[in-house]
Amino acid sequence: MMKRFLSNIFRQLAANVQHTLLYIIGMVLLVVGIVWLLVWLNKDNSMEISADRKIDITPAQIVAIQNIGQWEFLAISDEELVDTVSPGFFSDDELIRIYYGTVRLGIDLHQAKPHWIRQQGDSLLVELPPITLLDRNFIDETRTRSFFETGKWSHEAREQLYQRAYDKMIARCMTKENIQIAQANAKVQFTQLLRSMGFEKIKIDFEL
Amino acid sequence: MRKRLFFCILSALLLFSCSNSQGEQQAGMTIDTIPQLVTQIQKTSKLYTSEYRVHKIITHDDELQLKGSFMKQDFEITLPAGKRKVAIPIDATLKAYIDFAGFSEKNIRREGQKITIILPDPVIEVTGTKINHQDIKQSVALLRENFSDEELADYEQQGRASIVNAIPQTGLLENARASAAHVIIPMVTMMGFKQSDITVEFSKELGAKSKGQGARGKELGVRIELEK
Repeated sequence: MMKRFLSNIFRQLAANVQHTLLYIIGMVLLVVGIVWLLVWLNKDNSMEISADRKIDITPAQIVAIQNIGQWEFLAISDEELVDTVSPGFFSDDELIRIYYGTVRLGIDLHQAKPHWIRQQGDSLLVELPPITLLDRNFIDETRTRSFFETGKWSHEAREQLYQRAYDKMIARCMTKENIQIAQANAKVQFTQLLRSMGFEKIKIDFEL
Repeated sequence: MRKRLFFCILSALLLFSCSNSQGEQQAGMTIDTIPQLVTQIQKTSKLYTSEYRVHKIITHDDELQLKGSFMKQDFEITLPAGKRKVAIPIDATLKAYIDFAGFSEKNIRREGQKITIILPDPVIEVTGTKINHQDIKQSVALLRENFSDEELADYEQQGRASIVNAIPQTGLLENARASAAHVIIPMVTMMGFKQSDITVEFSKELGAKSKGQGARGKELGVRIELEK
């Protein structure tokens, strides 16, 4: 009698333990599942404060079309780093920009004399106008890179930097040596052009 | 005592005047760091035949936005910080050129007195751009930061790109071909050829052809014919 009673108690106890164990395992699995779900849902979370960086679509208007006759013989691509400093009370403000430009040297055929190419006997005489700067606005300002900036800078300051970059490029590129290179190349190119058109005796000079 | 006081005032004034003039000198002074990055010299042979001046106003406006993603859901909230606007007027110079770098006998066809010059098709490039700094307009809300130099440069580069991208739609190439013939034909006439015997052809891919005509032609007697 006692033996049966005890075995019943043990059996009930074992069933209870099994039930509790299953319950605990179930709860653990549920918690793990919830945690995993939350981690998975939040793993790509991101947040940033930003502003649109694109320009609006606006038309480009052709202001003028002009027929020109400019023969380029030397192109000098130049990059100039220009900076300006404005002294302040606690620290100095600085602006550094990189300007890009291509100085083009060549001849303007509109400046040539009326009969700058003429035949004399079996020879072809060519009198080219002097080598000049073909573009006054040779800086591609919209390609300018802002390299460093501290403090506030006005548009006037940027205009002054542009002028300084312009002067530097002129000083660097419009040299006597470069003009001579352009002249020599002009002679080579014109000789080649006229030879390919069937002329053998060619004399090329520059206007004084 | 008076003498000592006089010297004290004099030395103080001298010190003040020295420091002041130095400050003025610094204010007007600009310092160069690296004068030059790259200079590339290239011998070329390009005949520029047309010039186009283009004006464009680059505009940009923006609002601060809080963007992100939370629990796999994207969100975008406009923050009540106010707007920034800027308008940048730019002038660009575009030029059409014929590249004579590889010009040789292959580009010439002679049949008796008649001469045909085969040219590569014109290329249009931006030769210069200028920002009209005086006319830049901008408005920045109180809670927003001013436009930085980097941001302005970025908008200007985008404006340049949009001008370059618009070139094919402008029909400038056709004008450039006619213009090239305007330059070439008088040159060849000076070499002893009759205007009516000169034909200028452009690359056959596009099939454009300019032809010199006799005295009855208009002005320089140049017309553009499109090959069928």
